[in-house]
Amino acid sequence: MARDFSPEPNAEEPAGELVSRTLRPGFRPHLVKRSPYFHLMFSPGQWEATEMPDHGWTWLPKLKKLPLTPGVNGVRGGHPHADGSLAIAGAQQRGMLIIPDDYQGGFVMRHMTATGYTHLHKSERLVRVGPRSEVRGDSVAWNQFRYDLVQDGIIPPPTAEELDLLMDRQRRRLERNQKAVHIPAVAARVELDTAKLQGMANAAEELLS
Amino acid sequence: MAVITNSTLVGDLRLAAALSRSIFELLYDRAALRTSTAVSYLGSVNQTGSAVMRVRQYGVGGYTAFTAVGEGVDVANTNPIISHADCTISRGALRYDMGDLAMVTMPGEGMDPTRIAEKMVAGFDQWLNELITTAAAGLGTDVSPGSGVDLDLDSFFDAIYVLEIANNSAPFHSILAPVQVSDLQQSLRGAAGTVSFMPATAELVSARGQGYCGSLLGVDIWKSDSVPTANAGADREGSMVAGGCLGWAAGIPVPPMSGDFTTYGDVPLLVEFQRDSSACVTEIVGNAYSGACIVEDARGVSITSDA
Repeated sequence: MARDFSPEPNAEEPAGELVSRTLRPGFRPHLVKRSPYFHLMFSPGQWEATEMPDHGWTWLPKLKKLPLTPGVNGVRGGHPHADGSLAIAGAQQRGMLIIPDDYQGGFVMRHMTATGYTHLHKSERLVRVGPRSEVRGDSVAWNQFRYDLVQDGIIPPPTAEELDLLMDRQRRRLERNQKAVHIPAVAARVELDTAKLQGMANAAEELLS
Repeated sequence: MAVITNSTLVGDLRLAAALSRSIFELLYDRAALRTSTAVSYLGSVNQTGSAVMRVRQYGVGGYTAFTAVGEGVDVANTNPIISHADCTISRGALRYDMGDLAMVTMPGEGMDPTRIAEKMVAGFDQWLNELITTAAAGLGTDVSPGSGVDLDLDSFFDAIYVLEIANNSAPFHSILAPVQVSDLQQSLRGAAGTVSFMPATAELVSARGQGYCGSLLGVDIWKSDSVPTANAGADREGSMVAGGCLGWAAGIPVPPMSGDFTTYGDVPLLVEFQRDSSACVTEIVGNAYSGACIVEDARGVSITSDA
């Protein structure tokens, strides 16, 4: 699969509430491990209910990274780039859906660190927190990206059976904890889990209606 | 009368600092997942003719149950289910260069080429940990308390249920990021009923290797800071597996004809001392060939929780 290693467009400024200082132009952050190019993949049936600012409770697909790390799940070492063709085929054989690399004009960003390049999703940023550099994600942007994948038909929406299974798991979690609501920490969790279950049910109803 | 003080002598008759006899290692994650029971060793590709170790899988015997057949009726032929998992080997290496003058001025024992060569094993283990944990993050089924939510006991239970429902047999093994382990312990404090957590003792760590944290609900827990991030950096993606879910394979480097090398009995690693005479430098180079893979997806789940 073709990959574009040309310099990425200038990253947006990181969110102010997350960091003490923004990344200086040309600064090579230390303490961030380099990471290889990656594909994103979706395993059928793997959904999670998330509350989005614009859409309320919504079912979003759980995405996994398929990093082109030589030696992992069939990725072969190569020069100058690792060869992930066998790894992709292996993942597809296990039922994974590979998100096209060029979706939304590409979503993998390359950043320079002290030890080499690190590849991040476009919703992630390298930020300085005190003396350290860290990777921080923008959860709103990440959720929107996952939402768009379903809206654009890249990932087919979940079936009623898949959602039932996930809501059953949430119900079991509630039932386990409802026996111990006299413990304040458990009571707080039960309250959150109850709201989440209601949100899951509402989102499922809206999706399947 | 002038007093002879230490400070006046520093630089001529006294040293500014005396080097202690002991040398301390900086902190790093000492876990070695290759020694854990969570991962199976698939063998070496040496002299196999390929850099890919193919794990053969077949579903016969109990995979397909007998069916009731009437008296005198031919029983239909059953096609056995066959499959495979490929573990691709790649190269990992580490090199340090040491100048002669640095060795000449070394006071007693210290950071010398022999010591560096001994420590190469830990570097290899860190690399292999990364391969194993990255492979595990590719498991198809995921349990999670929700993105950005701390790992809790309920999700740990969910992981056990998913494995049990899929016909897996205990014992199960879990590989978690340090933050996931501490979140899980925090969740235990608010747990109702009887939940048994058996923390690792010195004897257990000695028997099961560095990184072993203890056992919760019969699941052995290993901690590794190589567990990758997920969900745009918000989470860590650990795993819980049954035996036969994850595997690693190796290619054992062949020692060269020269005598300047070190091998290790239980680690597929070759460390060589290469002399660059024109630069008066000794290169200490470690080379290894390894790979990790998911052997059977149904035997494991990933556990995603707040990073």
